[in-house]
Amino acid sequence: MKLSVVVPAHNEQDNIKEVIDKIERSLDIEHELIVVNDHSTDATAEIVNKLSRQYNNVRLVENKLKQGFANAIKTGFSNVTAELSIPVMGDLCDDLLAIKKMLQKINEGYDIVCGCRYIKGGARVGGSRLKGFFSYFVGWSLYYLLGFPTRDIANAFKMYRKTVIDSMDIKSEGFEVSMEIPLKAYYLGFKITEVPTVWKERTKGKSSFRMMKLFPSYLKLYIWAIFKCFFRKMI
Amino acid sequence: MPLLSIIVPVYNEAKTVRQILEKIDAVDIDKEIIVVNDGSCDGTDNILREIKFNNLKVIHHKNNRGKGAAFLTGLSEANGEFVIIQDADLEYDPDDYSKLLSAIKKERADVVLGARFTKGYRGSFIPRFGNRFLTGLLNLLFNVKLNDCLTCYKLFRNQMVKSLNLKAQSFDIEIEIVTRAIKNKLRIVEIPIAYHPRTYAEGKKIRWRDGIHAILSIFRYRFN
Repeated sequence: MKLSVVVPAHNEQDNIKEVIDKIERSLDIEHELIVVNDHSTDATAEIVNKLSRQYNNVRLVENKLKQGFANAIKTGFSNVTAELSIPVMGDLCDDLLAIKKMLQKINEGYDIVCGCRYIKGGARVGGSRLKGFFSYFVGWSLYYLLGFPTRDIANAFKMYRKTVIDSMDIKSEGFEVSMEIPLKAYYLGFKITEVPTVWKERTKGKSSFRMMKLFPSYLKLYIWAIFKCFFRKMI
Repeated sequence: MPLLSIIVPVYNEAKTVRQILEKIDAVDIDKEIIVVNDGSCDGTDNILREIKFNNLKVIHHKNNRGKGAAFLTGLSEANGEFVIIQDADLEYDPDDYSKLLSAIKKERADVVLGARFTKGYRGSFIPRFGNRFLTGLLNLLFNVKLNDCLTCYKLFRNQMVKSLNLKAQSFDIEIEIVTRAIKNKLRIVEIPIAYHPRTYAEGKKIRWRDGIHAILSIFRYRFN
């Protein structure tokens, strides 16, 4: 089996059934769907358990680490059985049609294929404008100034080979994990590329993204990336 | 060899392209006009096919590749002694050509920029503020004192601009031209010109994302 879809879910009872149904409907390749229950206090777990009886490739795992997006992703990755993994958000914001394009790029030899909202064919629809500004700025500046191979590094929607995940020790605690993995992978020599994706702001439920809390973590990674790039050039 | 090559990169300016070309054609100088249609999809290409001036050359890009790419295509066909960039909207006035040409000859300049931020400038706040900010940033990083680095009207000697080895494909060509000129220690002179800004309703295309690109370009050309 080729692909493991990892869906981190924290209180997504309003969206999770639709997400699972959508993924199962649109993916026609063999895959497993792992929902990581990230300390939900609503009916998320029950809904997923019911669905796992209906779809035999869907299963629920519990994030036994501290609550948080990064730990949910880590838990998901440690439970995958396929060679490729892709996190899909539990709020229907990701563009499932892009998965096919990502698989093509993997077949061409890439190790990470990033979903990119900021190139032709991609879009970011809705969502906080300030968050969009920073996301665009970070994405494009790393590409344009440091030669990074994607213009949307902060996007969680990326396909990874198992070798990438196994090669690193993920230190992030929050959403910045989506930036940490490709940054580290880049400096480890993995091949990275991107495909256009359309991201739509969630319609149901509440986002856990807290700008003020996350800003320092993203900034730290950003500065690390710049430092690493210049240090590399100096050797 | 004509005196002035006027390069006009065009993308989706069906409303204004005929008018601006007629205005340019009416200017009494020894000139050639090189229009580069950058993959327009609003009928601009049809309008261009109907225009038959004497010294007009039209080149079509199959796809939209960016202002830089369009300019460089035009530059490779330019045979004039001097070269100027002309946008296909009606914000700038081709009657200013002679002013800029006499400046480049009189002041023995290598590059003449048409400056807009002199008295009497009107326009939407955000592009004006953005321009001031970007020019200020460029001045700071390059240790110069320009008034308006993002102006459309840039006049240079043909051989000189070709020797700059420009590569930028998008709007960042504007930044690349100015920063390379500064890095190569060329003599840059600014002359006040007329400016009639259009509103977003009238078709102004610049967005906040272009501002980010401009900032990044300034940093890139400073530290590369």
